[in-house]
Amino acid sequence: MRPRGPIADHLDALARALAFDPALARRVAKEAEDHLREAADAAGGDAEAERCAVAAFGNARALARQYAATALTAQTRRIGAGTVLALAGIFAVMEARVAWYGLMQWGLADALKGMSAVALPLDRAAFLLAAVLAIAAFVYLGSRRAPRELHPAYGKELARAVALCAAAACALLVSVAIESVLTAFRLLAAAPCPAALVPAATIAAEAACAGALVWSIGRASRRAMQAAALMRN
Amino acid sequence: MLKGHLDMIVLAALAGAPAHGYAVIQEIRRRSGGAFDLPEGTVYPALHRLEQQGFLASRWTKGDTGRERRTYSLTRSGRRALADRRAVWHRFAAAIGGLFEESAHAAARPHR
Repeated sequence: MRPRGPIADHLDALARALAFDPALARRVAKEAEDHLREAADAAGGDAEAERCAVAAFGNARALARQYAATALTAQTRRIGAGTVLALAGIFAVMEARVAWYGLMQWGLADALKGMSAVALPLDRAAFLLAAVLAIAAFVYLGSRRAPRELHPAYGKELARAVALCAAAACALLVSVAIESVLTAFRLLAAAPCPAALVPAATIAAEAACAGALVWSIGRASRRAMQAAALMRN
Repeated sequence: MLKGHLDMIVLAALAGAPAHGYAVIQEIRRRSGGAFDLPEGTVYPALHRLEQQGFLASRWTKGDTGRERRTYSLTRSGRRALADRRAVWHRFAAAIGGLFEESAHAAARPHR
């Protein structure tokens, strides 16, 4: 446990201010502690030396704002890249399932043809919309440059990019849901056989992919909101 | 004004040898003759940013005190970036120097 004193208090303040990124907070705390202890030791190592070291180090929230700009940009870029990758992965899995149906000569039951005629264009439109939104988010993020310090205007730009990714994820969820329903009906209409495992597995993979994307966007949004609190004094 | 050049200052401080944050600040202070006296913590977000941009690499090392510390070193692209910024700075300084010299001559000329 850390001995209490000005340095420990400052490290706690820094950890609170960097709570939007726990891994970064741990790294910064370790670096800052080494710095502050070395500075305090060089000045005598007593409580006064600790206070001087803390004062020379600077305000915790101001420092966190500087970290936030880089950390949130990197996080949002990961989300953008993740959205594009999720789309590519789901597309590949969808194509694999269709190829499997072809290989197995697994046609659609007559009773399902009507539903499929309505659902498939919706599915394609949702997927296309997701792809357009994801590419737009990716391009938008690529054109932004992280400032030295997080400020409200840049916070809004990042929020816009996350919103585009979230919209893409929603459209992707619609597409995966339609695919899941169609696949479920197709499997129910057929006699149970080992070949049914492939479409079931591909649907599970798509759902996992879309779920992971939604989870990471949710986490990024929560972190961005925590970081936004740094801009309010 | 100092803030706008912080990245270049940090890169220059690391040009000699790898160093941890505290040593980077000491080096900046020493080489600037104490003129650059910024809040010490400011250097860490700059180090982090430069690492993200690929200009620096870092690793944990054990210091004399037994505490772990992050040691930063310039990467190849960091050296290139420093050389580019140094060249831009020299051109800028020469241009401003020329401007000031001209205005000093004009001020020294007797008015009629």
